[in-house]
Amino acid sequence: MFKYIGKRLIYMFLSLWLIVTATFFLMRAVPGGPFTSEKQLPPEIQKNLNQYYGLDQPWYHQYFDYLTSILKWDFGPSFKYKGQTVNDLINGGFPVSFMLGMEAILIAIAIGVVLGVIAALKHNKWQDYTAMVIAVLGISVPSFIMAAVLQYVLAMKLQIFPVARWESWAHTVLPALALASTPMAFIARLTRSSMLEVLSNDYIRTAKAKGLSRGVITVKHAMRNAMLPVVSYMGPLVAGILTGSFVIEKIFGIPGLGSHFVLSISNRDYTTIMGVTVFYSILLLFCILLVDIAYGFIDPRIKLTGAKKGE
Amino acid sequence: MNTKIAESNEKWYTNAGENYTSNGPFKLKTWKHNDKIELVPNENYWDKDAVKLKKVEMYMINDNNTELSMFKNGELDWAGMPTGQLPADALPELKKDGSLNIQEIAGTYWYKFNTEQKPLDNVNIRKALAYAIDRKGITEQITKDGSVPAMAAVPPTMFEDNKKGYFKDNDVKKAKEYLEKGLKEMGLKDASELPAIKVSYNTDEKHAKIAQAVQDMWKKNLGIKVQLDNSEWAVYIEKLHQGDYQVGRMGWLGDFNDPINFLELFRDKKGGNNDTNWENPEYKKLLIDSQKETDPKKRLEMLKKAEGIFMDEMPVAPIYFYTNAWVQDKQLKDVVMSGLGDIQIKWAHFE
Repeated sequence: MFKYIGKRLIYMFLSLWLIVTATFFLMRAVPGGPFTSEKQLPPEIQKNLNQYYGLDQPWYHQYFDYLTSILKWDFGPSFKYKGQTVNDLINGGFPVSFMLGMEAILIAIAIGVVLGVIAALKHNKWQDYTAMVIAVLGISVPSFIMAAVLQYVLAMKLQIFPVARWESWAHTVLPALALASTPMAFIARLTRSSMLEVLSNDYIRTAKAKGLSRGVITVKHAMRNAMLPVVSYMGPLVAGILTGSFVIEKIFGIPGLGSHFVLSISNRDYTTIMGVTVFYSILLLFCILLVDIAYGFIDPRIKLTGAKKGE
Repeated sequence: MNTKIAESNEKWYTNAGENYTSNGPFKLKTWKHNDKIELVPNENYWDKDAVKLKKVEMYMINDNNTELSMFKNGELDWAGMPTGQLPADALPELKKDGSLNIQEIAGTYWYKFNTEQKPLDNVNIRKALAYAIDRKGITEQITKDGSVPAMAAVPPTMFEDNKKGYFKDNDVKKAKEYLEKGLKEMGLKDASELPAIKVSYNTDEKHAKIAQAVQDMWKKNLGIKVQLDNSEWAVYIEKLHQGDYQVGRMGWLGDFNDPINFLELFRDKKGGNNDTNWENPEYKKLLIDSQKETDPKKRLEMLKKAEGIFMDEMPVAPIYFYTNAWVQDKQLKDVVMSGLGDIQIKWAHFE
């Protein structure tokens, strides 16, 4: 196991290096720089700014300087937000996005799995159809429409929750619901089809024949095998949600990390672009690694190291 | 600036707290980046007894619809300019229920002509294009925020008779006359012989709608074909500065309430905010001399004369003068808005 993890970590490092290099060169290729504005700066000030941010060095200089500072976990100053470093931006935004993301994931898993299991157990009955209609709605309705509807109905009309911002527990409910709606629907469908496939297997029939109760069969035997596709889906999902959804954070006025992903590009804020990309990549690669390790525990048939089964 | 603070703490301005130095009726109590700012009365302010508000909270909301929803739900006391913006489609409804406030401010939305590109190097073609725009239609159907049609460069807050302007809005007859003159000078017989003119703008719903309207007006009134070109803001600005455009949309909001702020944009051909590649020696001389003129009345006359030259050569087609549009809580009184559109909340209070 440890040899496996070690090998994976080396591959992760390699991937990260490729991602950093590609992003570094791509973002420099876009026209317009961090100081482009309708009020053109006098050339002396431009020169000073370029010097301060190291933009006057040849590209390979900037590239290697950047690689070494990343290894020290120093993403540099933000070009756009004077006085703040990219580390400040990430440290400020990530905890908020993380909390919102965790809430959304918990809601998505809890409701999604339950809906999927019920739909599978009551296959082709009204519970199945209802659950699947809910799922299709969740997948098709874009999150910003869901957000607007939640704001209108639950906040403005029924006055149960505040419209926006991130202050108390009550503020977190609507954005988490909006964020969870699509993943929840996906998880419901995945769970359902996976459960249906598992329930038709021989070992389930064996368990029934042996007289085990419905509950034990469903939870202990069927679900454990049905969860595999859901776990695969969860890897990238978790990384994506935890780093913040730009749309949800914008609509609900939440000071998370999501906005920085998008705005840094239009701002040509090179350091922030690099910083959030590296951060997200590390998180993503890590989540994928966790998913792969989880496979080994959930399904003993899967041997990560490739060793022969049995023997 | 307090030298002791500047010397001891280089980053005093990055966060609120003991070291944050400011003057003014309020001081910064907390600053949660990207989230909110809290202001409380400044006990060292010279006029501190005039300040009635106990606390001001400023929330950073990026979405205009959310801003308006929060206002309607009672979570905000002020929505819209100058601190935020109202969503464009909500304006007619707010106007109907009487809650919309509008004030003209010192700013002009205009279309710049790249005077080094044919056919825009011909002054009669430029005038034809400028005269053929229906500004009233644009402000009533597209912006819907009480913006004022502009037939002059400097806003009426600085030159009052610019409300009337230098020419008639949507003067299609005169436009056609200028077009004919221009075509003759270029040796062409008909507008269809002109190449399509490219109108550029930065990605935004309003700019797109206005560009489409202008495209339609120039086609219908002058028979001139227009190609639309939109780019993201930073890319767009680079294009303007590099001269990679024919007609480009831009706006200018006054930094201070004096005409020189608008006129000096175009003083030098390669000036940082010119982009039109136009300059005129008499215009330049008037602006430079006006800075030495000590009699304020004479000085304004010189500036008006300069504007006359500018409007006669039309390197820029003004479209409308900006307004601030906002809604505020009915009990909130005594917020003062300047001609430039900023607000002073020193005397503000709730009844």
